[in-house]
Amino acid sequence: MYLTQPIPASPASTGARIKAYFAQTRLSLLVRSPIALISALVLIALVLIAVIGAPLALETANFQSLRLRFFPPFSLEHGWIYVLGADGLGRSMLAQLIVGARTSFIVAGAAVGLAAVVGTSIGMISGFVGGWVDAALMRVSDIIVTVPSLLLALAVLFVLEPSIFNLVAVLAVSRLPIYLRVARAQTLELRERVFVEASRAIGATNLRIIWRDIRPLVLPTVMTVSMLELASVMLAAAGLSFLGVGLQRPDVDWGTIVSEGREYLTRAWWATVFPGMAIVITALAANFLSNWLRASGDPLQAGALAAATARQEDALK
Amino acid sequence: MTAAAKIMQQPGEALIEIHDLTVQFRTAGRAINAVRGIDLSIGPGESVAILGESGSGKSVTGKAVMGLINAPGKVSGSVRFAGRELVGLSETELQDVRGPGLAMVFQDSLDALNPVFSVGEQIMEILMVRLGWSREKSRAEAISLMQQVGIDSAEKRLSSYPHQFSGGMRQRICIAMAIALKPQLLIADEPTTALDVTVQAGILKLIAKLQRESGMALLFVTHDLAVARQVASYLVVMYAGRIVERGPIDALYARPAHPYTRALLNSNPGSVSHWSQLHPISGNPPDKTMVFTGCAFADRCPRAVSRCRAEAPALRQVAPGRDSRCHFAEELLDAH
Repeated sequence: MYLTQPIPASPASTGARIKAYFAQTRLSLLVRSPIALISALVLIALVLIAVIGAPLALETANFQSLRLRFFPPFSLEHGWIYVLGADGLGRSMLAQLIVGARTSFIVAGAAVGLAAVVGTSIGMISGFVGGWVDAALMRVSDIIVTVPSLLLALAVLFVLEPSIFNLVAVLAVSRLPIYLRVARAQTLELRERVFVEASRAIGATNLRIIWRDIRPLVLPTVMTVSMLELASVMLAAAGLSFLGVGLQRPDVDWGTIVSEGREYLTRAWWATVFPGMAIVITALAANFLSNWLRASGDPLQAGALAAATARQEDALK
Repeated sequence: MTAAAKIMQQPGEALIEIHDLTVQFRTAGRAINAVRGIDLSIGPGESVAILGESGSGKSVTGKAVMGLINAPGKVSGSVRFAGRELVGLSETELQDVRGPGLAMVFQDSLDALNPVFSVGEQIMEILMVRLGWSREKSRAEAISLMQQVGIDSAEKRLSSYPHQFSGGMRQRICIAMAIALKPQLLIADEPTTALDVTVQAGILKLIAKLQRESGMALLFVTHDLAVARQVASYLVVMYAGRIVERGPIDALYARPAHPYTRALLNSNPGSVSHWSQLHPISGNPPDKTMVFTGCAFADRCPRAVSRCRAEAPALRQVAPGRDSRCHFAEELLDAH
């Protein structure tokens, strides 16, 4: 099997040894699956832009100019920073997108991460322990689902200060049930598997069984769900900003730009389409990458993946 | 506990003493009696096989001893292991006993290993967590364990994942994990049922060898007479949640003292030269929700008389070292 091939005993050179080691890592699989590789590169680029570009572009992003109102894209007349046009207040779209990237990644990333970690932990415990603990936790989850998340967010953010921290907390709570249910459903199935019983029979504690036998098998599903969630959380954050309880200028994220641009959709499509595309591209890349991560993280599928990649390469030769 | 079994198994030295073990599953108002009161004791280093058809309660007995019966199952009676009562112990208290005290090998070897960790990782984890060993020491021991259970180039296969092994090899890994903490009693729950016959023979030899060499006791659950004979020296035959006969395995084979044991021997393809000599047992095992007034086997028994349906026979000594739950056990013994 490809992934577990031992390192050749006496490689000819250091180069060959490095090559042999590299061949065993997941990275080598990534390099050979184009979609996953492109997705990874896109995400890395976006994160780099957010981290490095945002502080540099902050001032430009908030610079308003009536002269540049609805300046159309794809023109270098006013410098490359206006290449994606300007919005209703004459602010550079490109600069706003760069600044928005940072906020979007922080808000959506933190909210999704928080919801996934907390939701999955509670879900696994709920499913594993069962009984009244499970029933109580699931009813709490039902209540969260029943309350419209927008209403909940509005109420909470209205009472508390609208801040990035509160926004993340509210988004995370309203997205919790998805992870809770996915993790619980999988745990219910996994806890009946023989290897869980075998772990019990050798004296493993419940915590260890959850951590070593259940978590690794729940994780791929949860990861796929969180990647899907990334885009919807970005849009949910935008909705809240739109209603005036989310981010406030000068803070801006992609969702805010979309909802602001909506007003001029017929006059200036670029004010909506570009930030929208940014969200779509991020979500797509995250999905492709999570799909690949799921396959390559599973020993069984990783073998098939390696074999399929090798076959493709042979066919090309 | 009858006198005979005590003589046979030397009183006071029993490693595990099971007394009146009962397992009941209560679901939707029905009570399913899987095990209806079992007495059994196993001494250190002894090998005992529990034989029975599907639904006789043999597997449930094994799991009940391990404390692996989940709700809605209810275990009552007593299981004393090395002087310690196991029934009623909390999950945390049981964790100390499981591993170095009791260990188990399961029927479904294909699913008994975690699919996302290499087998080496899984064996090493037991040693590192339970014995506090270092990674290197655990690794060396894992290799030695894999060699003990007959896995070639163990060092290389340490990093292989369960799906890269055949069923028989996976069962060997499971055995390696079960014996990693040197248990005093190994419970094997039909460990060869999911395997084909040639592989089965290898696994049985391995279990017998490990049992002989390590001196651990063995409780082997099976539905296969031939298999029981290969690994065990003492046989317990179960029917409808009760022990119907027990004794030294060879004596039991030569002269069964219960009609059920006899019927089992007559329905074994290995014991006859032509299929026309086979005599399958007619009928089905009784409903587990039933409460018996007479003998549970009466409806399928060729020798049943009215007394069998009216009066429940007790498990009693019928010859030195032999117990049977039949009114006519002596006649059966003499008939041979």
